[in-house]
Amino acid sequence: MELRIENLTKQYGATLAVNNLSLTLGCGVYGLLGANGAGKTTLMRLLCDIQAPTSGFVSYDGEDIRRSGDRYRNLLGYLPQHFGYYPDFTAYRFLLYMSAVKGLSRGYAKERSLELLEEVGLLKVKDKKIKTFSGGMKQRLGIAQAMLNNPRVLILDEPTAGLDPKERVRFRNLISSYSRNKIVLLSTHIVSDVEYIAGEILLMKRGVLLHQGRPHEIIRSIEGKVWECSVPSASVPRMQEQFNVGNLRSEGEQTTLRIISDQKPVETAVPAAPNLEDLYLYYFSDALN
Amino acid sequence: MFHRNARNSKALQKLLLTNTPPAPDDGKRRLLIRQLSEEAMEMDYLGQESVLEKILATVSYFSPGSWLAHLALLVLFFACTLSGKDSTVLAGLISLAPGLVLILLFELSKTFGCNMWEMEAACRYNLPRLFFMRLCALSAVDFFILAGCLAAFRISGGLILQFIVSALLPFLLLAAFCLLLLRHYDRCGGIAGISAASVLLAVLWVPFSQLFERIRLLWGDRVLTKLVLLTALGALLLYLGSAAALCSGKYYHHTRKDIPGWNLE
Repeated sequence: MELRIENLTKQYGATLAVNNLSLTLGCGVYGLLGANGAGKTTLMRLLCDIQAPTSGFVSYDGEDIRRSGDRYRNLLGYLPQHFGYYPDFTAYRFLLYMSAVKGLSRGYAKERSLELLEEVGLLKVKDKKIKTFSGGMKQRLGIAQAMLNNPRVLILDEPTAGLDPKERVRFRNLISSYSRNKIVLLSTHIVSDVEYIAGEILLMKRGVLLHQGRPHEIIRSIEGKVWECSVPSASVPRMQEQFNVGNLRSEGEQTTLRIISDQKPVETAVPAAPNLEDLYLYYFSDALN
Repeated sequence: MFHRNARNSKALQKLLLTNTPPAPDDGKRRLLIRQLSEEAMEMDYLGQESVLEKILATVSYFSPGSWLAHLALLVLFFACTLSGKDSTVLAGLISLAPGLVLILLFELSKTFGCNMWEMEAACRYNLPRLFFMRLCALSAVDFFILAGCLAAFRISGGLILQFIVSALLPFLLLAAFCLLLLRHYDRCGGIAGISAASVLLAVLWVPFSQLFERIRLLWGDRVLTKLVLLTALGALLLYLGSAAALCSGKYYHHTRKDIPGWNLE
């Protein structure tokens, strides 16, 4: 099972959302990291054949997905970043509707919908209207619809947005148990989600793939660039202006800063072990500014 | 070339009996069994339904409001024709086309309005197929309603030609206009704009339809009949063409929707 992306480009007017991207995804969980506007959502839409690429192609097991059509979509599960529901739908009816659109047989759809509602913890409220649900419940329902057809390729755009920590743990476990012999690609801003479940991380910036590798390998690339130092609290704004500052910890008159910098920022700074969050800040600090 | 006749078959059987087949590789056997069971599972959960069954399945998920609106339109028209007043009948006749078109537009565009399009587009029956199924069902209902209204109009003494000019023609033209635009303006604002434009066009159609009356006065009933039928045929073709355009486009226009800023929870 292989999803191959070959010289993929998507252009909106003068903006290159995805710029000549080439990548091969085998079985496993991939975490797609990037700031807003990095091209993550566009890439995911291209992988789902929702948008046409300006150039390049995506193939699944050697066949162009644009030609495969519903044969590819039968194997696909997708959760978009922004999605809604028909207002008169209950959770169960919504899953039955999505099953019908996915072309699943009625008997299987009923069984699978109940099974997934149980897995995402919505079985008790299956007959309630979705408009009465909280953001987290809606998100869990979205995850359930993506898994209805037991997809071989599961693409999740910001799946943990709006989930509380307990729900996020449940989601991570669900994906981990599900991902065997499947391709799972998830994009998120919540770095810890990727850290826990992704076997590989894809780092994207301005439509280009910056890095691809296992979390510890990618983190190693910024070794010696993360520093910790304690400075007077009054000088924090100046330090923030001057350096790429991560976490701040106020301790009375002094504040401990975590700085991401190629050079030692101040004499008193000591090197710190980098983590994925530092990596994110290292590559996407300009997007933050 | 090897011909499989009786003699060759016997020779082949003899050869096979004298040679013991190799034991199958256990790993390969298990892999094959797994692949076959996976494929069998896939075949089991993908329903094999006819187009009609798919359309009926789609119909069951239409909003109840749409059915009620259709029914209300039919009842109102019957009430108008039963009233016997010419002005009321005319008002009912004029409001039929925009009413039906607005319901059609609502049911088709809710996929964008409710932000479901991205989820639906990634499914087996993607947006063009969904539009096709919805259009088939809605067009059938619309023509059924129009037929019912025509029957009521005839009973009240109205002319078929007048019904075609005042209800059927504007319905076909407005629907064609909306379907063509829906392909390009799939955001809520755009859909509201199309709805407003179709109501405006329906109002503008009223003075335009008076032209047919002038033609009748100038050239007589036969010319008018021919002209109305030809126009209706043209409008029907336009409607079918617009429906085909909506159902054949694989990718739909949508503007990028980036949210400024980012969070790092």
